[in-house]
Amino acid sequence: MTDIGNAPGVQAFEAPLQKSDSRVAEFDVRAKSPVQKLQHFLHANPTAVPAIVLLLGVVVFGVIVGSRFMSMFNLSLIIQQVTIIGIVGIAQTLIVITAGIDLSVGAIMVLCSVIMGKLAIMAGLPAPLALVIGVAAGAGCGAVNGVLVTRLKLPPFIVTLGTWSIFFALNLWYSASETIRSQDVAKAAPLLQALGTPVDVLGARFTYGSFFLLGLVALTWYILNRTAYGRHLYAVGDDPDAARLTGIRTDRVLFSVYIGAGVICALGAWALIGRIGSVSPQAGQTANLDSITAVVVGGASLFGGRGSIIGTLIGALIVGVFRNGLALSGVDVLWQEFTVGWLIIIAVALDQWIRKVSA
Amino acid sequence: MSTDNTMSQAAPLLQARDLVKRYGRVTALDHADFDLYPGEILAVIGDNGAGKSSLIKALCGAVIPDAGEIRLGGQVVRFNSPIEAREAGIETVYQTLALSPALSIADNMFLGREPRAPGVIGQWFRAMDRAAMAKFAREKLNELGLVAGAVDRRQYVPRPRAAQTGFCRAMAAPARPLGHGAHSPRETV
Repeated sequence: MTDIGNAPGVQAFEAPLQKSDSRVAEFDVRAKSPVQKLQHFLHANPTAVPAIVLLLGVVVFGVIVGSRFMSMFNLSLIIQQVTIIGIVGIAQTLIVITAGIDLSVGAIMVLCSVIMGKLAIMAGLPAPLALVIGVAAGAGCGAVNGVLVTRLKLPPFIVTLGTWSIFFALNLWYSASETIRSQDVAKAAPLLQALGTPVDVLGARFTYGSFFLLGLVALTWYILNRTAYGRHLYAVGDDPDAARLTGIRTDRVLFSVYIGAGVICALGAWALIGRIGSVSPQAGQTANLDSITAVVVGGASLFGGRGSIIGTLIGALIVGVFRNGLALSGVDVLWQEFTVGWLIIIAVALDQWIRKVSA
Repeated sequence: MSTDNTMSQAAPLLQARDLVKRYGRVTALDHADFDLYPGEILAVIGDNGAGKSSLIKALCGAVIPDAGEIRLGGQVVRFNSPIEAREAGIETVYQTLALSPALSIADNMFLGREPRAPGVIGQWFRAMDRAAMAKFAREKLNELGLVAGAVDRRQYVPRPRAAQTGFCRAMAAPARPLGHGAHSPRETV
């Protein structure tokens, strides 16, 4: 088998081969119909659909609502509004790529924000130290999820459904259900609010948090697409048995991804304090499910192996654009929920169709 | 299992004695023996359920036999995972191919042993050497008489092509001399 490239002289039994078809076989599939072509295109470019939907959303609301929507200020406001969901969505994307799901991301984030706030303001620890301990707590929460998934072999859905309640209860207990006021945070630990610092550019208002989100997007994109570890995440999500046969230590990959998600959620906690100013045990309640919405609308497959960080960012922006646009159109909040619900269902239906791709 | 007479003089490169593998009450391998000589191409033939796959999987570390011993180049070896067997030089193309459709052809070929890019970017930032992977993938496919438009992009790969990708993955292993200067055993399950 090793000598295929430099085959020796033709032997007698090989003679009939000389008459055989000698055209080179091709990998590239010729799609038959335009629909199949589209299916192949979408299969190869998972972010195409969300990007088109985002663009359409911006154009449609731009036409309907007009300059109140299309202003630099409002568009940059949407980016501010999606910062938290974007960051938690990154964590969720990593988990979903491995065919898992993490319902506890929001709870981890709130718990970490409370730990950072309590340590820095109540216990009087230096703010950087409180921040580091908060991030370590996020890693710890992720490790709990990871151990339950890889050691006890429990389904991620059940594990994180349980830890969602556990982490949230710990958060209520540790915070004593009390909010630390924004003024107190600003006085004792301004570092915790640093990501809320506004930056005005040409009438647009960003915060450090927006750039922090973009930095995280760039970092995780690099890890997923340029390192072996990133490729292994996809392989494990696609087919864990196949991944194991190629020698990937699937449990180690899974365990580490839950820890990584916990760390990213803790960084989201820092951005959350910056966004709302205060430290509240009731903040970010919707982040658990909103992050899944962003991931799914962003074109990731809940069956694993497919999904991208850019897609999730776009998914979060789509939800942000629809909510903002509908609100500015004067539509009742319930219709915002109604629309987001349909976005999710359409996104998953589209994913099912794309997955059926065949020659 | 037959052995070429001219080769039976040399010591076997890969040898197994009394391999036993049970799955619950089912005995998949019942004291199976196996000999592979340097330079030999050996086919294992049998009915469905005869234990062909179990035998090969035991040899390549994908299953751990309940009893018996495996010798590679005369040394007793015990593989706890496919990667250990692979490090010892046994490459396997699985029947299920063990490929990931989510990844490109080049990614699949190097899955589990991706080369790092040279310099700081590989050493400190752990970047893969994607150019080298794509080049190698293309060359190996060409050796099999195949051309691929894009080896470094995700795309749908029809099953026969996927099989060839699997072969190329085995070929991607650095062939290292074992025993009497022979190439590594490469097997298809």
